[in-house]
Amino acid sequence: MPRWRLLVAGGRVAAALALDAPGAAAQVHPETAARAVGAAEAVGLDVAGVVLAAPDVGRPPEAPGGVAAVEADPPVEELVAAGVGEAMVADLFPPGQDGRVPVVTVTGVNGKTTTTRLIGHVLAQSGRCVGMTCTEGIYVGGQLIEQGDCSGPRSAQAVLQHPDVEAAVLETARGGILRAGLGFDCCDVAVVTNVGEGDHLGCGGIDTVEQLARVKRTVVEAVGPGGAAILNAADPLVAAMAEHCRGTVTFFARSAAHPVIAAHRARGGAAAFVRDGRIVLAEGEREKAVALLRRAPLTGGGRVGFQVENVLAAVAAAWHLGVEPRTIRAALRSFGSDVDHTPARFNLLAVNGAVAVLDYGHNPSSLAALLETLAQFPAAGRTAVYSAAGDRRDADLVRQGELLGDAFDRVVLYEDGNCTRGRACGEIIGLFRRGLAGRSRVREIQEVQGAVRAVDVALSSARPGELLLVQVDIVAETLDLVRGYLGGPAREVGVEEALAILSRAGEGQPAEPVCPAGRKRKRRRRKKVGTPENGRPTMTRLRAGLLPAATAPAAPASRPCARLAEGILPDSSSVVGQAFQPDGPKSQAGKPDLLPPGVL
Amino acid sequence: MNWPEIRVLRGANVWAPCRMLEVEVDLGGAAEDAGLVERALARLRAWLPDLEAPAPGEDAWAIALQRLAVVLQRRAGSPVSAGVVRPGSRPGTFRVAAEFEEEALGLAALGTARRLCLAALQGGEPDVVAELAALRDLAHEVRLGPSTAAIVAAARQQGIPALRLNDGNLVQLGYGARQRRIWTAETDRTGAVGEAIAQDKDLTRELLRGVGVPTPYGRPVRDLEDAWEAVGEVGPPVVVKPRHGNHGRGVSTNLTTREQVAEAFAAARQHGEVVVERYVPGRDFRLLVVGDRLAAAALREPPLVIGDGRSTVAELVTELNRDPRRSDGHSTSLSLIKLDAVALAVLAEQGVAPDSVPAEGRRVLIRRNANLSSGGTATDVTDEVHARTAAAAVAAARAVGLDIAGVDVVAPRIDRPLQESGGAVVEINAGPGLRMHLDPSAGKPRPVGEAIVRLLFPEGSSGRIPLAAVTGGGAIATARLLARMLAGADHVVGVACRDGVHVGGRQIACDGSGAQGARAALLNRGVTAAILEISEGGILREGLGFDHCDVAVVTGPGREDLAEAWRVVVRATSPGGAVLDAGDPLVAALASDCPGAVVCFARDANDAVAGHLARGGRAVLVRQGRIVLARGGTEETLLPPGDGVPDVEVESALAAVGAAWALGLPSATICAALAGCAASSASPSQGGETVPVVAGAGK
Repeated sequence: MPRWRLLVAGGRVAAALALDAPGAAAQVHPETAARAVGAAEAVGLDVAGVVLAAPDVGRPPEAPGGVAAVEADPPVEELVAAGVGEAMVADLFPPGQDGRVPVVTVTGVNGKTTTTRLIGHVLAQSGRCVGMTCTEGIYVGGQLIEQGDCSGPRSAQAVLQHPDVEAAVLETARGGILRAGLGFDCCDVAVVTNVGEGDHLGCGGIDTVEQLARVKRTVVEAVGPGGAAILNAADPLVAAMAEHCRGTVTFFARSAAHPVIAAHRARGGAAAFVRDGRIVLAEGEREKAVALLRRAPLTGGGRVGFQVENVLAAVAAAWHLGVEPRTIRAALRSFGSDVDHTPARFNLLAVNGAVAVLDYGHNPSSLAALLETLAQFPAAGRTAVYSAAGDRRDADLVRQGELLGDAFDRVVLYEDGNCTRGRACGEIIGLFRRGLAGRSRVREIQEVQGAVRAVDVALSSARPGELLLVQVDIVAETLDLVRGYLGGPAREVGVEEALAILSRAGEGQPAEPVCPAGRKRKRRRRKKVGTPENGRPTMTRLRAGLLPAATAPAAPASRPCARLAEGILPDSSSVVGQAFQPDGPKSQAGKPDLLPPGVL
Repeated sequence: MNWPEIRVLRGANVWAPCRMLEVEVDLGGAAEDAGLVERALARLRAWLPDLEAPAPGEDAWAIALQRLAVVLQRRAGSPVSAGVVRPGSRPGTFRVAAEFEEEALGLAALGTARRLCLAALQGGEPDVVAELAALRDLAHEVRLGPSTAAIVAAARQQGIPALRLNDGNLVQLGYGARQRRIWTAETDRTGAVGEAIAQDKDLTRELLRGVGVPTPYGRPVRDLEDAWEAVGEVGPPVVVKPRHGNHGRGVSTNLTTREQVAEAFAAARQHGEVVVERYVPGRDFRLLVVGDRLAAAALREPPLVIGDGRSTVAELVTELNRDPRRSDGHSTSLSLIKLDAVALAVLAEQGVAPDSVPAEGRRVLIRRNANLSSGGTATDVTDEVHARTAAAAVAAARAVGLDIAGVDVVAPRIDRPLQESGGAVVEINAGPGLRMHLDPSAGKPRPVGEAIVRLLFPEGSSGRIPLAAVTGGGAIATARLLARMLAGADHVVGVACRDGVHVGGRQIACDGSGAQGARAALLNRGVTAAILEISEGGILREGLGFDHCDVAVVTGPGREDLAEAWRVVVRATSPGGAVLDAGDPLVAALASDCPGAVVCFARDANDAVAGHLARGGRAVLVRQGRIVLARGGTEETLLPPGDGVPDVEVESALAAVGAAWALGLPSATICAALAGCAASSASPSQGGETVPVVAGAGK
């Protein structure tokens, strides 16, 4: 009796081969096919080779039986030749299913992480298990599953491999694109927040903003035909990416009147903008007001311009994914710029009657955007605690120094051993100083070694009515410190309240106690300041981990300056500038208070 | 004491609703001497005191044989009890039936019972202890393993039928399309891919890291040199183990020196590729994940003895092995501790030998790993597991792709999140043993069988499909028409009857009226409703091929000699109902055997029908040439039957309508099937399939 191998996949016979005449394919009668399918099913195999003994598989079988063998792993060459791959895929993914989850990717020079987190928040509110990658880590279903800078392709793949993920929001940084490309083949939504004056120029062969835009454009090119690019209309380099998108384009800008938006809408295109305090989505002529800006705490009632742009981009992305306006509104309402939602992204802290703004921005564009917002804050004095990683161009560091010099009375510059990126000690500070030199506003410059200590110094010396901009380069450790303050004299506030605090202080009414309870000014530096159990940092650990040993910074240049490099300089008693004693000159050899009282 | 044949009744039968072995034993005059029987009984009771002595009588010896068969099985651990003795077909013969659980064990016990009986009569001195031991060994061999048995017991508790598919632990739970299969603690949805991933420890580690589950750093190594390099990379101390494998074979832990690593590498090498990973200090926990939940957790400890300052290690081990919970195999909660080559090596590492006398209080490890099979112990810690650790275990099982997984965690403590305690998931096991959770050496037993059944059959589903058993003269015609009705309700109908087993209209086997045919229909994964013809001979020879049916249909004509078999079918309707021919007094009388409701049918109204209706019962009747469904005082007319319909076919049609009604089919579906029959009978059928003509509408 001739023998045949019938390849069964996905509940049907994909091919039949005569075993006695290799290579000869055979037509299979439906009744015979049903028998082979039944045999595979009885054993419980989704893909199987069923060997039949039958005179002719092209005719219906005469009697039950005839199955000689059921094979779990039929010969691969036969499988391929018989095109069983297609049958298997058809079984795994019925017609119309492609096994994809919605993929949103966010890139740009600034605002990536906030926009990523906000989109993730909106999608989570719509009931999906969201996988999210950003510069702070990988989150799945709200759980941090990996900490660190996760804006590269490997992290994107980790999210796409995770079995629980129903929607992916992937921050995509330039470094990963240059190093290894994208971690996905195709996305549903690509958001490009801005390119501005660029960042990291001079790294990886990217020297100009045009080259940088070319790199960022990669995500727009990855948008599938049914997808959308969400592009900043107000950034010419970003707006120009539109022509590289296979899907649709939604432009966003704070103003509906922006010519790019007007022209795009005239052609029937989609846009997101603000009108009369409302976030409006438009397509051609049609418009829909989705949410009120004052109900989006992230934007500080619309005062924080760059956050307004981030919200516009996120809303447009969610809209494209079919999220209901009601869900979008609810998500915006419940997403503030607090330490938990957007760590180190425009977090506002009230401390000692002062307001501190914590932000990660570290390039001329982000600084300019911040200054635009901070200009609205009435402050008795303005202090910046600032640095930037050493892999920036000299010009970018000098430029940031210039911006700072025109906006702040006091500038505390710091360097951190983790971020010098090959520059010599003191070099980064030197470049900032070059920019600060001769600028209109700055009166004092201080230097501190160590990112966390710099923040500590700034927060502990805040004076009522003062506005502090704290640039946070080392996010996780700095936030540990900040949480210590939050357990003590500091608390998080919204923009409205921050304005109120500063206004009141300006009228000579300190809003916050100058020396809050539990913050006694005596022997504050303890050897043991925290225990691992309470999750707060101990100063000893911070010192050990963050301070490079015996790296004395360069001597101060032209201006009077105080260096707070305690523990580094041989004589620390002489380094504190008198002007920055919040409560007047301190007794204890003028050492700054380095401890967040909450950790005691 | 001979019997020409043994009937193995694998389902409900004329004796009892359980599985029975039946023989017709000819005592050959041996039992006629009352004095001899009494002496023989006394000897049997001396050998087996738990044998209850039968009352004196001519059947005493047959009863002794039956009770002996039961007692022997119980001694081997099989929970059987039922037995029946009745007069045989000739004087001096008796029909003896005894319950069995495992066929092989039942048959062996029956053989042993016979040997012991003969020895008792003839004054022989059998080695009773050896006979019992042989039966116990056989029982271990043929009974389901503890994990499978727990799942099957939990399934039965939920009303789910279980069919064993092989001599091992492959069991079908549920019938037809609703069935699921288990094979120890693996299910038919434990994918081959997930299992293969779990086998590869390096791949597993990578996938776990991808979902944020802590795992020890490590990598596969090529050779000893590479292994030593890897030690440098991950940092000592390390674990060296085979990349593939389980049961802790070839695993060496807490190694720091090159010599230790070399030795461990050689040991692991015997199992193929080798991986080196960082040693995680802590205790061994096994977390059992079932679906998306943690079902149980156990702390596992390697076998160890604690010195008393007097006894040698070997003596201490012997003392531990006296624990009745320890046996050689997987069937008791603990295994014997063996002082084999591995144990001697472990002892040597601690500087002791079997004949050393450890100081009082000194803990001497006999094995490094904590597997139960090598003598370790398990303590239930389910209630202590931190919620985030449980979530990590579930995520790990999901990442690997296993529906049931044993997640091995090493951690100083289990009541904290892994990230905090510094613990890690070191291995994922497909088909994990359940023994340590079912019967832990300490702590609460966990109902993990129930957890697995809940996974397989959510929301208390019974895994059953609509099932009709049909017997009597018009069985085939009734079965076919009922099949048509069920097909009209979008069922894939499996029909097993004398002319074969058909599934969805396709023949899959030749003869199907016996238990084999029933099994073929119920095993088929396509079948969503089954109709089984039950032949009276089949019931007598092998019992029913199913445990319960939803409806039992008995058509006439009644015969005294068949009533006994019919009763078996009607009794098996729990909790369904019977459809009985009220036109036949013998059949109608079966109503008293039916535990559920009865639908009667009759061509002509009679007193029996009237009485049934008066009690609120249901009946299918013919009124003025039309089929009507009657219940209490209300009637629904179905279809106008024509003239010249053969009587037997009208009976079959009424029976089929009654069965469809009892199964809850809508009357429109029943009508459509009847009309279809009429139409197809008007034009000769194409496929050679004949259907009963009910109505003359098409003529």
